[in-house]
Amino acid sequence: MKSKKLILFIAYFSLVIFTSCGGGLEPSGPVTELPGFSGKVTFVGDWPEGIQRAHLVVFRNPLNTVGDFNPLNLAFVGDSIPIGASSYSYDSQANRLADIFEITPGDYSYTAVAISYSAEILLDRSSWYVIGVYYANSDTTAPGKFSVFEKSITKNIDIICDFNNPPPQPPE
Amino acid sequence: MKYILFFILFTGITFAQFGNISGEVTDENGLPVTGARASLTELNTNATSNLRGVFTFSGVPLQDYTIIITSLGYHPDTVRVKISDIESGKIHQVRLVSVEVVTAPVMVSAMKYKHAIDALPYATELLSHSYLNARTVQSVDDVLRSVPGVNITLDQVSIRGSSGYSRGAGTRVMTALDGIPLYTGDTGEIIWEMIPFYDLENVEIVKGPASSLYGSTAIGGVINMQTRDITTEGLTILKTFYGLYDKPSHSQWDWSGQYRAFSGVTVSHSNSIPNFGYSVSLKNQTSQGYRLDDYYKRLTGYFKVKYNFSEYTNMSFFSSSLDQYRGNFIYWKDSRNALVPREEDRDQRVNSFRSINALLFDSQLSSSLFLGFRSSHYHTDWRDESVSANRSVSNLLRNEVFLASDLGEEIKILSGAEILTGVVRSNIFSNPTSTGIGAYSQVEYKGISDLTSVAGLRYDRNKASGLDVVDNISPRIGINYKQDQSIYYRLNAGTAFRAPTLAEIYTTTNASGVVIKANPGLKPEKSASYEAGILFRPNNILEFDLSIYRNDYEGLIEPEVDLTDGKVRLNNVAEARIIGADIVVKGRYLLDRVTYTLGYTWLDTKDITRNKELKYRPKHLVNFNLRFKYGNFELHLDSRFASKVKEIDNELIELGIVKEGDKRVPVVVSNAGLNYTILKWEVPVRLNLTVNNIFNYNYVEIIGNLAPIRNISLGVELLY
Repeated sequence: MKSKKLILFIAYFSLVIFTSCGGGLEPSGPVTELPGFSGKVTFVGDWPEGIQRAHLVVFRNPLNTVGDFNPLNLAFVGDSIPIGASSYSYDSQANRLADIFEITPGDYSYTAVAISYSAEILLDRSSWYVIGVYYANSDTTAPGKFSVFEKSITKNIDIICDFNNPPPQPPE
Repeated sequence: MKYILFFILFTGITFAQFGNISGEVTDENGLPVTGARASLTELNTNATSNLRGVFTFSGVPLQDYTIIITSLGYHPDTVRVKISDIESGKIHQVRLVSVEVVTAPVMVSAMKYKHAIDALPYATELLSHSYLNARTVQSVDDVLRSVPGVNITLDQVSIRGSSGYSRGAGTRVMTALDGIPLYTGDTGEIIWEMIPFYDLENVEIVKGPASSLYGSTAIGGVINMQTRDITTEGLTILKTFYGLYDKPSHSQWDWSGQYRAFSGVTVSHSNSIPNFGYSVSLKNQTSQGYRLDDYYKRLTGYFKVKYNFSEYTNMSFFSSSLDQYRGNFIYWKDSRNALVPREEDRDQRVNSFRSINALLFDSQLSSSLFLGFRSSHYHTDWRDESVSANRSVSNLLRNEVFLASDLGEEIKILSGAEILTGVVRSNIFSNPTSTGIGAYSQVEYKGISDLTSVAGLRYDRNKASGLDVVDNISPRIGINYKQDQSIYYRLNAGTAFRAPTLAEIYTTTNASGVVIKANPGLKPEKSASYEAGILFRPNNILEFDLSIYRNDYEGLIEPEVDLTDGKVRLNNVAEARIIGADIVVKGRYLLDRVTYTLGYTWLDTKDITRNKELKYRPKHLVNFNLRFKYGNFELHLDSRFASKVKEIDNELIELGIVKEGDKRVPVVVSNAGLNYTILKWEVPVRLNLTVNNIFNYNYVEIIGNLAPIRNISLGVELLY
């Protein structure tokens, strides 16, 4: 009987502990005066061996020809996504690879997660393989567009990367 | 044929002359007493009771015996064993009765020989085997964080504020295993992971400088870990645990989307034959890490043999080694990416192999003369597998001999000498060597009733290649006065020093965009300390220990920017002063079912050179440890609070190396564990549930480096 009471006490104590959490140091919030976007990347399937880099990339104009894959059209490159992650939350202010990738208000036509088997960041198209593309409103027939406005963070730019079922590749 | 018959008869007689003695030790409630010592007086050998309270002496000659059973917290008991008992295989039942007065534990190392903790002139803490055994940890420093007056910043230990955090600086606390110093030959750091935690018998912590006995690195205090005795009967222990880190409390920090796992398996075995015993353990640990690039794989081996030449002379040898492969998380990217390193620090890895081998010889030459010899070799080889490709191989050879003599009942003299040689081959520390000799003597006088007086002096001469010879003399005096059974007063004063490590002198590298250069002009740090304390036991369940102290430091070694070229070097920059007080309250209730320790440390630190507080020294430290034992259940709770540190590495923040590095909070962390022992099977099994950082509180110990988030582990332990 006493043991049962003890177990109940421990269970109650554990419940109290696990329903209380957090506290202490907190991350800085996004700077609301600056424009940006945020979302979550979800990975499905096993990461193939040998991948060295994975980045979120955003192009201002659609990638209709191989010529559209150029630095002037490239609006944003995110931090390296941890290899092996099953999901990755990001926002463009906190997770940009370099300060030059500052998002400005406007429309963005092609957003994707690209992987590379090279440890270096190479700018040629052949070095990258697209593993997931942003689709707006569940329309998977074409890459989705989104807009960024003054003093606003556009949310839910979510991408699913299925290693077993990659999306159509941009022109090469 | 005649010879064969003779041989069979002879061996038959021989076998018939031996047998086994077994006993089962329980408390007043009939519960097993684990760790009780059974001493077979006629053979001068010991056995220890296992989780079921059972002890066994195997292969003893047939004769009558007397066994004395002792266990901390219980009255000793005596068992008479007859020849007929051995022949019949009788299991002796021993029921121990709890003592009504607090029994003082015995210190071994504080003065390099056995000494009652109450009578020491220095504040000393003892973590018992049961305290250590109740906890599942990834390395020893996790346990030290719960000790009053001790603060660990990342992996650097501080006693009474002696250290803050300085990357690359050597330890200011002498940490030893069975009296063998454990600092490395190049960086002078302590590799906590290579200490065989599950083979430890206890941990002794001497608070305050102790260079008069231990020389360099004891400027802040001493931590000596004693390994377990080798068992007299075969004992195999299997321990395993598996745990998961919880999801971070802020979704922005969830960089992997996974519960990150960690696990460990330890197998150990020990056994003895007459006069010879051995103990061996292997531990394999892995962790995915709660942060990116914070994983590790460790293989730790520990081996110990002991040979008794006679009742008075023995020699033992131990070897402890660590093979580790780990990621190298240095600083976060920023507070929104607190679990992800800076982009330029990604994929850093360190591969290392370290081993320490030690030979210990002890001989009681006569009733009043004891001789000890210690020899050790510490080898380290680590390789930074990143762009910098830093590598260092170091070897540190140390030999020490000491003689303890009793001149009557009143005077005890301890004298010893030490010699050490260090060799480093490195592309970051150059290829320097170091040599050091030390000689010490200490006199303990008990001629005045209830007063113990101690005076010690140590001379050290250190030489690092390319530098001048440096001499240091470290005196220390102390007294302990016992007013009555409940009050002890203590006073001590002395000086101490720490010689710079070869890494501190010769580091030349480029780290995180900062160019670090050598400083051949580096000199030893020095300190003068004064302490007064009182130990008060108003009754047999309560204990108060109060200490006040002052430490003055000269030439503290810290990083400094050389304004002539903008490069960073380690230099004797700070003159400092620490004034502080510790109060420790210990209590035990309900026949020791509930025990607790509450400690508070107040520190007033001042960097006199810069007229500000010393870096990474919290002003207030509070520790609370609670243990509750009921039947086969055992619950322990360790909580600690450290106030927000005022001074940090602002230079790294201003240079943009650590973004948002000024973000810090007070430390409020609680860990809990629940153990349940199952005795009804043939093999005793202990289940363990451990939750660290139970409130998932987010804090940093150094800038830009988030401490472990909540993690839960389940462990299983088998003894057979």
